[in-house]
Amino acid sequence: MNKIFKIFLSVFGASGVLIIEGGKVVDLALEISALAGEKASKRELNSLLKRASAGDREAFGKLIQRFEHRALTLAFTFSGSVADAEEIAQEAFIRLYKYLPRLKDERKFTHWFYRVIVNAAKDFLRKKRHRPVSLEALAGKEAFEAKGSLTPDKALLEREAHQMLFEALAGLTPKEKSAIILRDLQGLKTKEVAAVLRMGESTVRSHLARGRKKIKDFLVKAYKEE
Amino acid sequence: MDCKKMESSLALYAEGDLGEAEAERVKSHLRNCPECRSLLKEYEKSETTLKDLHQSALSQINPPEIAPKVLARISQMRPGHLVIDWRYWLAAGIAAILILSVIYFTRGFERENLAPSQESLIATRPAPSISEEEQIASLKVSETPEPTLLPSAPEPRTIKMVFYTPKYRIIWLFKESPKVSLN
Repeated sequence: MNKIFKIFLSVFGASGVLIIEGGKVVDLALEISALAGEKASKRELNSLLKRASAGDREAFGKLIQRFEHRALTLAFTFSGSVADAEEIAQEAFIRLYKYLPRLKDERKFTHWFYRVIVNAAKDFLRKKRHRPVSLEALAGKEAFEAKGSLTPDKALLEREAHQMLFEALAGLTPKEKSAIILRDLQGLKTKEVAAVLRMGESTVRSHLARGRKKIKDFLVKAYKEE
Repeated sequence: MDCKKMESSLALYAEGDLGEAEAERVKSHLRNCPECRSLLKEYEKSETTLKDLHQSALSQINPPEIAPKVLARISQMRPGHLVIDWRYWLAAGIAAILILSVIYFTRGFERENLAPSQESLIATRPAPSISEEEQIASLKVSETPEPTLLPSAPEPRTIKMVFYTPKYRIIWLFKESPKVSLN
C-alpha cells in the first residue's frame, strides 16, 4: 500500500511531516526522538540552573562540567594561552556562581554565560597588557608542549598556524575582536552577538566589517610574503 | 554603488550578515564588477583560513578540568556571600540623601492653625539653643494682619508656618483665596 499521509505535527514545539511510505515513518520517528532529546536537555539545564542558584554546589559542579569546554575554548581564543584560558574560565565560573541567583530568565543563560566569559577575558587581558609578552607566549607555546606526540616539522607548522591566528586577532580592537570571535569562530548569530555584547546589531556589523577587513589584509600580506 | 563603499558590505556579504535588501544590491553590483568579485573571493578565503587556523589551534590543546578548582575556590568563599549591584548602592544613597533632606528642612517646622476669625494665632515653641539671629519674632496674638485682599473677597484662613532658620518663612493662605506670600 502506497498511501501517503501528510500530517503536520506540533510535537515538542516543532512541526513535522509524517509520510507513511516505507522508511519515511522511521525518519520522522527519529526526528521526534531527537527533538525530545533536545527538550530533555533543556529541562535538565533549567533544573541545574534552579538548583545551582539556590546554592546547590553539586548542581553547580555539573553545570561547570557541561560548559567548561566551551568556556575554555572561548577563553583560549581570546588569550592565546592555555594557562591564561584556565584562569579566565575559573574566574568566569566564580562570577557565574555569585550572580546566578540574579538570573531571572533561564532562556537567557547562554547569552549571559558568553558575556561573563568575554568580560572575564577582557579584564584579564587588560591587567596583563602592560606585562611584556613574547611572541612565543602569544602563540601558546605551552599548548604545543602539552601535546608531545607531534613530529618536529608538523609541530613547527602547527605552531606557525597558531601564531598566525593570534597575530591576526591581535591587530583588532577589543570590540572587533569580541565580535569576530563570537560570530566567526564561535558561530553565534549576529543577533546573539548583539545580545552578548549589549550593543545594537548594526554596531556589531560595523565591528565585524572592520575586523574582517583587518584580518583579510593581514592574511593576504602574510601569505604573499611566504 | 561605489566600489570603495562596497568593501564593508562585501565583508558582511561573505558571511551572510547583510539584510535581504542590502544583499540584493551587493549581488546586483557584483554582476558587473570583476574587481569586487575578486575582493569578495579574498574575504571568503580569509574567513575560511581564519576558521581553519582556529580549529587547528584548538585541536592542539588539552583543555584542563577546572570544575574541582572552581568548587574549591567557592567553598572558601564566605557563606551567604551577598553581591550588591552598584545600582542598589546608588538607590540607597539617594534614599538616604532624601530622608536627610526632609529631616533637615522640616527641623523646627511649626504648623499654626489660626482661629476662624480675623485673629491670627501663632503657637511658638521654645526655640532650641540657637543664636539670636536665628530666632524669628512671633506675631502678637492680638495682632491682625493687614487685609491684603479686595474688599469683596472673603476673609482667608491663614496658616502660618514659622521656621527657626530665617531663610524660610512661608505663609500659606488656604481655603477661599489661596495666596502665598514670602517674607
